[in-house]
Amino acid sequence: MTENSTPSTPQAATGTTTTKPAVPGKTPIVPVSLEGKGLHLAFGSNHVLRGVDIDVPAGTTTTVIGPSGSGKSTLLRVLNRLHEPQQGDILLDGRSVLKDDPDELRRRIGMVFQQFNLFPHKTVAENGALGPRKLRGLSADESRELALAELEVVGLREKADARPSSLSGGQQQRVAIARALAMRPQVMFFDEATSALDPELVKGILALMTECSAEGMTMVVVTHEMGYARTVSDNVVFMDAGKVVEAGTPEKLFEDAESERLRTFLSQVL
Amino acid sequence: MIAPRTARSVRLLAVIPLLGILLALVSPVGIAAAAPDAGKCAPPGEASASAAPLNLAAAGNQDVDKYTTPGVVPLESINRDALGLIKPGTITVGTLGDAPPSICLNQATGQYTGFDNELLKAIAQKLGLKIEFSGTEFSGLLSAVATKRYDVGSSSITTTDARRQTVDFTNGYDFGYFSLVVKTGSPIKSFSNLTGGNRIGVVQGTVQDEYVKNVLKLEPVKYPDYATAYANLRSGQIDAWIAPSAQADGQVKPSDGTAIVENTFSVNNFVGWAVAKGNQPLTDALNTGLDAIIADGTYAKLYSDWAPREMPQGWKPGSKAAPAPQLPDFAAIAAANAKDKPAQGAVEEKGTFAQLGDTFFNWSLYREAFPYLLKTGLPNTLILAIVSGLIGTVIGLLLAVAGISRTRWLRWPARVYTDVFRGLPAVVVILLFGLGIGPIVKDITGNNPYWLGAIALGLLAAAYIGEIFRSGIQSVEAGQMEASRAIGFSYRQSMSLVIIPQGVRRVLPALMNQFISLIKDSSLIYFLGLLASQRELFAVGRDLNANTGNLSPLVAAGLFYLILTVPLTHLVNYIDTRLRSGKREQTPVELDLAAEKG
Repeated sequence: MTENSTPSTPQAATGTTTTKPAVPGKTPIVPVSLEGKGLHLAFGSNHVLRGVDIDVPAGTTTTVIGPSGSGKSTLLRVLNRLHEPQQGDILLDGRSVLKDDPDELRRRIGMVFQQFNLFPHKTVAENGALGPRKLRGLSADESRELALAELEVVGLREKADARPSSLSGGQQQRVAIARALAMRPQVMFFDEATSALDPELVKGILALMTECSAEGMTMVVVTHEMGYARTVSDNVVFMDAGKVVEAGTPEKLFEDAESERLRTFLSQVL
Repeated sequence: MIAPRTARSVRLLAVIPLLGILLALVSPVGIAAAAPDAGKCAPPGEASASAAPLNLAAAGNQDVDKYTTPGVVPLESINRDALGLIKPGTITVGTLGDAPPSICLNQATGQYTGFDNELLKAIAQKLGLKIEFSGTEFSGLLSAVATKRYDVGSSSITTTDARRQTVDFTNGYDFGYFSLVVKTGSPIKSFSNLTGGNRIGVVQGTVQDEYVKNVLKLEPVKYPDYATAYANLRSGQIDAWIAPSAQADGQVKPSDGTAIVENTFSVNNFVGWAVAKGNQPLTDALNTGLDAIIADGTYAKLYSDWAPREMPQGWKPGSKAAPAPQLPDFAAIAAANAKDKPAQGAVEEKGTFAQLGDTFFNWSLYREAFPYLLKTGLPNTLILAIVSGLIGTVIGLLLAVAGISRTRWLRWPARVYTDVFRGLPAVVVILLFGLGIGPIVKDITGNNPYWLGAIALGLLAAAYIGEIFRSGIQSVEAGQMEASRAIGFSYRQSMSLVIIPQGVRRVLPALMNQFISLIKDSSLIYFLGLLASQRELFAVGRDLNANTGNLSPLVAAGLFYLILTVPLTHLVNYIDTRLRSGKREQTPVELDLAAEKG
């Protein structure tokens, strides 16, 4: 990651250390707080979320851990209203967003998926430029320039005109992160972003995520990487069967777990 | 990377020899481009006169002539603007190209002609009107006249009570014997020999069709046109063919191994032009014109040129007040000719394979057909296929999007449309659309069915293309929609920017196959009736086939279809392979490692 991309520094490109011209649309990322309150969601009789509370202060990273099927990924999709919660409230920057246009809300929250989900019919640069051009009103040239700048952040600028299918899994996930960053989101979601990668590639993506955390973004990270959860996150949430069983600092959860379920879970994954 | 691409080009190259063969089959034709032959579509002249048939079946139905008018309205009193013409000042005529010398298409001029149509031209001139001919299918001709698609139907139509329920008729201008045609040596010698065990060919909807059913009480085998019926008799698919005498005379050749064994006649079933029911001014005007050209000798001249044969006792053309045409003594000419000519028995019947060879692979006919197929048929086939393909693609895409919509008010209509149009034969849709919608929109289309036909084909194709698109769109992974929505795109934006472009790409081979179908299905537009210049490959081939009684022009048309479709088929395979191999190139682990280490 290059120095000029420090997201929390207002308009880094205009800083003194670089002679590069300002990248259009590369507005500062202004992290905000995110809060979920008593969220419920059921698909038919399958009650996936049973009153979940989560509180992510601005500029912090919260990691969500828990066994498969505990509702972690669904929680992310409820927080950005890909699934509408059936009960509960979502607050962004302290204000309820349930009455907002959901498309508007999602533009403020970047999301990175386990399966990358890059658009295969577009080039790498077009993947990053599509959102800014169609949703942020940037011109074709401006949005491409922005996409290139974000690709540089993830170290893939030279792949700008390649098709996603010609990239490795790790490279594709970097592009996906760049695509999300190009929207200059106030919050970033990572949904098991390293689970589909070969073990030797996990480290690179985790390092990139760590940089994002270090730069002070608001992040919610669903992961099985306990090392990341423990060392990088400010808070850890342990979910099981659609409920938050335990939440707190990494130190507390990893060293002094209260619940039997968390202790069992940790003993299995560590 | 390089190796597979080479392999692919090799596969493409393999197509080229095949194309070469196809081109070789037709290319000598292009160079030669012989002077077009009018074929049977030319007046045979007085010298070919025939006497009234001797082998006339005992008619036994000497009814009183019920329909011929006693006189006609005076020519001066006809108001040209009150004839109810579709195009003011012009008589629009529906005719066919398949029954020389009565009605046919002169390939050399591209004009519809024949005895019936030449008479009409002379009448139009008398009336001070222009005249325009369109080719169509006999089975739809009367209903097309009834629904005012044409002002006049001209197709050697024998008037019957059944037909008078649909249309009105002019006075008679010709008479209808019908002839029983069989293979030489057949045990069938007369109409009375026909039994339920015989396959008797007729053209669907003709008087012969009714005659076999209602008078002979037998079940006929029905064909769309005379040439097809005759070809089936020659190849032994039917035992007998009952045809209007003019068509039988025109087709039967001793070398074909066929002969007319008996004729029959009814004074009430004269031949007239069909006019929309209730359009008395036009019927009157045509009757007046007919009497006028009888009186000035035009009729006698055209009759002697085109249909020189002895008129039956007790019948003459025109109204009862019209003078009898002054005709040469055809019986005497025929008798004199018979003396000059050697006995016809000398002509030997060709063997089955020689006949088949001549029927399908007559090179001089290929040569004759080629310029018309290239200049008229090919452009029209391409225009029809491309226009209907575009219509089908646009509507198909709408159907696909509606079909996967979350709103049932979009989903259900799309479903119903698809079910209906996929469930109907193409020809039914084309006929229903052309003849049903045609009269409603005639002010827009100028009563020209060409674009209607293209739209009908497009609507049909839309049902199939819609399903192709739908399957393509639904095959796009759910994660693509999720990722697009997560960026902040609306459902509509996600569909148009992300999902549909991918779905369409996946179904390109299937779409190409659909386009190939359209190229072939464009031949069905023929049923709606086309101007000579609008005929596509099949229509051109068929008219030449009708004109010559030989199937070689149709085979030539078939070659043109192959030249269009075979390369497309291989293009489809090529695209398909490329799309598939494109997927295989994904995610080699070496790339990952290189990237991470770098």
